[in-house]
Amino acid sequence: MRQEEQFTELYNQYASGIRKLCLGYTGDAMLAEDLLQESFVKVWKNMDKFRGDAAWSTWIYRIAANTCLTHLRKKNEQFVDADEERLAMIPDDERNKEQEVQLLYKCISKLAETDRLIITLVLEDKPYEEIAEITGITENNLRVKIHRIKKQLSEIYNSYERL
Amino acid sequence: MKDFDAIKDLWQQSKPAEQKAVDMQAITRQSKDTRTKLFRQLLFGGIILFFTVVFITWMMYFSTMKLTWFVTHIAIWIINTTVLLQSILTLFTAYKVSLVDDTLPPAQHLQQWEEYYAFRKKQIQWNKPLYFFFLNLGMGLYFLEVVHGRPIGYIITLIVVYCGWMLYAYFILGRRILAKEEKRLKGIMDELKGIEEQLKTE
Repeated sequence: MRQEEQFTELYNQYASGIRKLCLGYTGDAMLAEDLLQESFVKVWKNMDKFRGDAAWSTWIYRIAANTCLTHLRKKNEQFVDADEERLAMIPDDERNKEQEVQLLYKCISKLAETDRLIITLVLEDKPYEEIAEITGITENNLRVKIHRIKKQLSEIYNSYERL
Repeated sequence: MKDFDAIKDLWQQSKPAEQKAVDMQAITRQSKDTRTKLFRQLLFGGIILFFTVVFITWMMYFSTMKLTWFVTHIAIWIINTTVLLQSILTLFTAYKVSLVDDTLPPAQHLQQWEEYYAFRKKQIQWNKPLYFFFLNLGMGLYFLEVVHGRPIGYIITLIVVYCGWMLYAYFILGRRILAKEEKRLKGIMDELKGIEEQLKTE
């Protein structure tokens, strides 16, 4: 298969998941789109380096995670925006599914940088083994972290829901 | 009140924006990351140095220039060898940058940059003074024939301009370029160290 065809196939298969990952990191659709693009530029440029030691998904998620983390370190962005207040003002019965999803992205973007990566992969139902490989931390450490992050995310989400 | 499973359902049902078709043109366009910038800078430098050797050889042996002293030929060979070796070294350094794999987990990625940084620091320590010494040795010998029989004013002006430029290049320009490179490398390493710190056991 030609590199271009293989790349297109990978893009079609993983772009949606990576876009969600980027959204979880930034809480901002435009920025997420930029990071998605940047991640796939790296995938394209490094495809010849892929040795097949890990699954394509592990490799691509790792690139995207590194891209998002590096971006956040550079910008050192603290997520504060008007949308957050606007969303919080909307009563429960008026808040539709899409708003709930937007709220979820924003809640994830409140977590610590690497926690966002871990929880996004958990939400995507990636096996622990793969998450450990992507983040480079041991499975035992990962289990402890995931337990804590799940609790933290639920608390943040529910605190907004109560508003 | 939502528990984590409900949050997970919400996440999995969500369809963020619509899936755009892949823009191959945008993908293949060069990205502007630090590694690419460093690589390009070194590659460009190496190529320029190589063509400098070609140009000097052409000027000396194939142009209408007539420099006949034996010592001038020695000077040209010293300059050419020095610049050619510098070109090879610069291209080798570019190759080292190209080996840095930003698709690895943060810890291994950081280790690669740290190794490159240590290599580069060591290289600059011996390479910079040696290059400066041999290049100026060659130039000094070359000037012997060039200034021979010229008025003293011309000789003094040439020495002042040449030495001025060399000192500026060595002590100001060179340092500025290296400081910029070091800042970039430290920036990458600091970012990765921050990430690494977060991923450590709590």
